[in-house]
Amino acid sequence: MTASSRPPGTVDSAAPQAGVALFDAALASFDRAVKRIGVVERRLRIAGDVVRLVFAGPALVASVARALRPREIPADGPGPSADLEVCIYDSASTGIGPPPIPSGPAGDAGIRGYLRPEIPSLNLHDPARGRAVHWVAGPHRVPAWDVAAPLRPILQWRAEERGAVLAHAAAVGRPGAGVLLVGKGGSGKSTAALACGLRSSLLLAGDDYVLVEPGADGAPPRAHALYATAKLGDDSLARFPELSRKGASAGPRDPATGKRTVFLDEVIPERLAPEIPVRAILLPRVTDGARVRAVPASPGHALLTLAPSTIFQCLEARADLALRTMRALVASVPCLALEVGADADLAAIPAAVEDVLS
Amino acid sequence: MDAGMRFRVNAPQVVHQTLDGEVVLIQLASGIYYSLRGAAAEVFGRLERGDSLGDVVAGTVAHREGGPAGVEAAIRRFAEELAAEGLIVAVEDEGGALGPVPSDREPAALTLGPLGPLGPLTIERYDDLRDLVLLDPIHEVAESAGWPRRAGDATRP
Repeated sequence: MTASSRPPGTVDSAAPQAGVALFDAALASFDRAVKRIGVVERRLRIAGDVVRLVFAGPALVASVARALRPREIPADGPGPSADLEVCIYDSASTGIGPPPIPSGPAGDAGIRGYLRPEIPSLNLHDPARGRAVHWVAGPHRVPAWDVAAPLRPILQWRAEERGAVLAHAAAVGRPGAGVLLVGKGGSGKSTAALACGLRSSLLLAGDDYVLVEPGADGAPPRAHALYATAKLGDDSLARFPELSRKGASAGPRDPATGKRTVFLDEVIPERLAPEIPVRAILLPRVTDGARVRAVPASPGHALLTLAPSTIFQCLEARADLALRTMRALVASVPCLALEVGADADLAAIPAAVEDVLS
Repeated sequence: MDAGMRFRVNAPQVVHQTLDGEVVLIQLASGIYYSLRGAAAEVFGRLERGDSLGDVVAGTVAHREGGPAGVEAAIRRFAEELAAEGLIVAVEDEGGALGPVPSDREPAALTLGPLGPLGPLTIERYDDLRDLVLLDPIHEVAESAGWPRRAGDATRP
């Protein structure tokens, strides 16, 4: 694979042996870091998988594990064996240098990598061993968007193995039925999701990303929770003053977007659901007036809304597989445009969602 | 473009799916994405299937009202625009390069409905998400150079 055809940011090894050697070298660096500074563990359940996070020292625990807290299960004792183990270290706190820098064309060892040289950070995944490595230069270098959605490449790769997709979408609903909210920035997706989570009894599985598994054998698709975070601009924070009252303003602000990360488990822990069956896809759009209503939309329009922003935000994913999965998803449930009047009462949004589900 | 030319979608730089007669194409490197509907989806389906440009014209003329001259010019222009956008590329070896249509793909929209005139062959082009990709360009790395640096502030939503 040449550089021009490679998805941005992805790195692959030149040959299977080189890929394995690269991963082994990264693991060896992690092991040295653990020997030097000790180990901290967290265990998560994500979409039925048990994911074991193994940190070399405590420095990255806050930035990596905070958004995943509602997914935590007890880490002590025998517990279930892990479907995925992620080895996490940084150089600043451990004194251990970065893993080898991957370069060259693709190999077929199955080892995937995602390099963010500007942070710098590196993610590697070996599906054959069910292990991954996440390295970052230091805890102070972790950007706000990575705190809001940590380990995204690795969780995306694991999702791919399961035929799922890490979708740029929100999911709200009741335990038995819900909707996926799909939209680009400015569409009102987060406003709609938070209106459901804060102004109704509906549950929220995610505001920005959810892991969506297509339905099978007559069962609906399922949206699984990943991150208990929402990224909100000042206008959205002003629209939901209850967030500030509950301390949401303490989250980090992304200097590029001005958006602040809100940790939803600190605000509405009782409204967070680990998964929601998807009975419909709603495409929020802001309209004039005060009316909120759902009107039919074509599956093609839903795919056009969901797929590009998912693929461009998850460039580490196999775009062809992700697009195919999203096509199957939008073809399997009704798609509706959720027209939200600019002057609408926010409580009318969950009411419209309830109407769709009834 | 001569009538014998055949094309394929410019994978892997471009991914696409067809759903209910609408085609969504995503160009990974540029961050631009496209929608084809109606007649545009229909003609794209024929091109994607591997029909030669001449066969696409002949097949369309056979099923549509209107003279062949206008149809031919419109289809040629459409194919040129698709190629100029980097969405399709000419296939040099027409014997082996095309292969069968994958079974998981929706068949091209070849069952034509009302035999009216060919509708507009419009390529709907969207570049509103381009920043997501431009902020995260391909990372060239070299061990001798250490961790590469990108010009400008490197933040990404």
